[in-house]
Amino acid sequence: MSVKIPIGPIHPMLKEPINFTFYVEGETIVDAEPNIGFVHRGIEKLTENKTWFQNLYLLEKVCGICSSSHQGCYAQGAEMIFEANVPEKALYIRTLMWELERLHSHLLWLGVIMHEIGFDTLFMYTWRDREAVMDLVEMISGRRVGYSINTIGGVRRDIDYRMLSKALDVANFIASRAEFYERVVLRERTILDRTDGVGVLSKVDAIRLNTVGPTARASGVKRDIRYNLPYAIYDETPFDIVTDDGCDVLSRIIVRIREMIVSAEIIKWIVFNMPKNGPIAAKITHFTKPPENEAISRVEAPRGELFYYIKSNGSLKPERVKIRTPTLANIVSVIHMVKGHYIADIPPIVAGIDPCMSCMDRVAIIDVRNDKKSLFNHDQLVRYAIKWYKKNYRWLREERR
Amino acid sequence: MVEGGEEIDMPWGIVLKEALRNLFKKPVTINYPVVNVEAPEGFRGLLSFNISKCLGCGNCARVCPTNTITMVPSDKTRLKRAPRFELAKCVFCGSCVEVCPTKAISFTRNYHTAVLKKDELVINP
Ligand code: SF4
Ligand code: SF4
Repeated sequence: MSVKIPIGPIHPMLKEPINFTFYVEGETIVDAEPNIGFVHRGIEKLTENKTWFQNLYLLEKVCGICSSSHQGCYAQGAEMIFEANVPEKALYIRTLMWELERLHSHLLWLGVIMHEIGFDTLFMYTWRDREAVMDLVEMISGRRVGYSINTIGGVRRDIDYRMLSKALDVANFIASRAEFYERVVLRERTILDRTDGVGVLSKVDAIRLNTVGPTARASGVKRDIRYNLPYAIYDETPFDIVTDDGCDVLSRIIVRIREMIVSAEIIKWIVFNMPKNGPIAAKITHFTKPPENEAISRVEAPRGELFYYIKSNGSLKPERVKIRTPTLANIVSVIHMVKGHYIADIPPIVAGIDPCMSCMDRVAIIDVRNDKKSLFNHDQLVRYAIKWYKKNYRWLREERR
Repeated sequence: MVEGGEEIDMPWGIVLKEALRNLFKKPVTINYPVVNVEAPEGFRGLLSFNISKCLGCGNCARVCPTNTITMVPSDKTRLKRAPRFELAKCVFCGSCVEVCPTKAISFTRNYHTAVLKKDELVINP
């Protein structure tokens, strides 16, 4: 019997609505089909009508969580176009914000995936710990979300001793919490049952499908723009790429948790090596015209490689800005991850690549043969999955061993 | 994948300890409308505008990414025009604050932006 399950039409609330159709036989998924393009906001087109500087604040809104990555990536590309000399201190501050963003993004994701598998206790803890980072970015930039810290040619706000010492505290705190989460994730039976061996993406597939970010690294692929193509100050920063060979959802959790520890290390290194004083921005104003030029800018956002192509025709507005976000690179891999797994595994697998969680707004189960249709919303799917696992965990455990 | 070990079979082990410890702690959430939280220094809240400093140059209206600012005629400035802010459109980017030659625009630490009528968020010169 072949059953078709479409997942996720749009919902005005969502960040990145995606529609999946899952083909299932009994409980087992045989195929999947992602369908994107539900929220075309026209941001790329809008950039052509705004000035170079106004675009900083537009592109920041592409994503609420990795706003600094987007803005920084654009600023980096625009600096190549303006042929600006970015002061070193600005690069340090920018990198500090990127790493803080990675910390709070991974903590947010960890909470979300725990919520997807029904482990709400950990969801509360991670989101509580995330507040420490949010308070710090608010202190540095003046806002919790949309920091607007980058500008073309540097950063907009200087950092003082008080902020640096708080950054040190936060880095230490998050590192200790990440170690705790790693212990929890590797030892809790509930988490292992739902994630160990689920959503396997082999290393070959991960390379073949051009996955990026933690999704690729959890399949053992050493792919990290910070390392492969160092930008800003990453060529001086000592850090290790975190990879794991598990290739499953558990590995994706472990990779992200270990990355938090690495990010905390980078933050500590930045705090100790930050130039004491000096300028924080090159002299480019809102009314400076760039030369005719084009640039490619790549940044390792929390979800993976972020890519910007920017073209200038010498006027106050860019001619073209093209964005490739990490979720777009990773979404195809979901097809390969779900094959052979159960309906109940859909939430953690789709959540595993860190797209917008609430994409799975509605689930319609359509029996192709007799046209029977039942509708699930996302909450019901999560509840269904928890119930299904409660009933079946014993033999599943045996099977996965 | 994880190797099976003794601790793995310990259900609720490590989280239970943490949960029990948290049971005796104060809640971390803040009872917001009752308890007011002070925003930190340098917070980018609602804008405030001091017309006595304004020249009427119009730089702020030129840089604003969201067309929050429009220049309207006014007798109070040297160039006979002054900015009008529709703060409901403002994204708190701070471009206008940065670009103003006389520091007539500044951020306040007020983050209470919920109002019943949009007009309450308009600053007329
Ligand atoms: S803060 Fe930004 S969005 Fe708000 S009025 Fe000033 S320039 Fe416009
Ligand atoms: S930039 Fe400053 S001085 Fe010029 S119009 Fe705006 S508020 Fe007035």
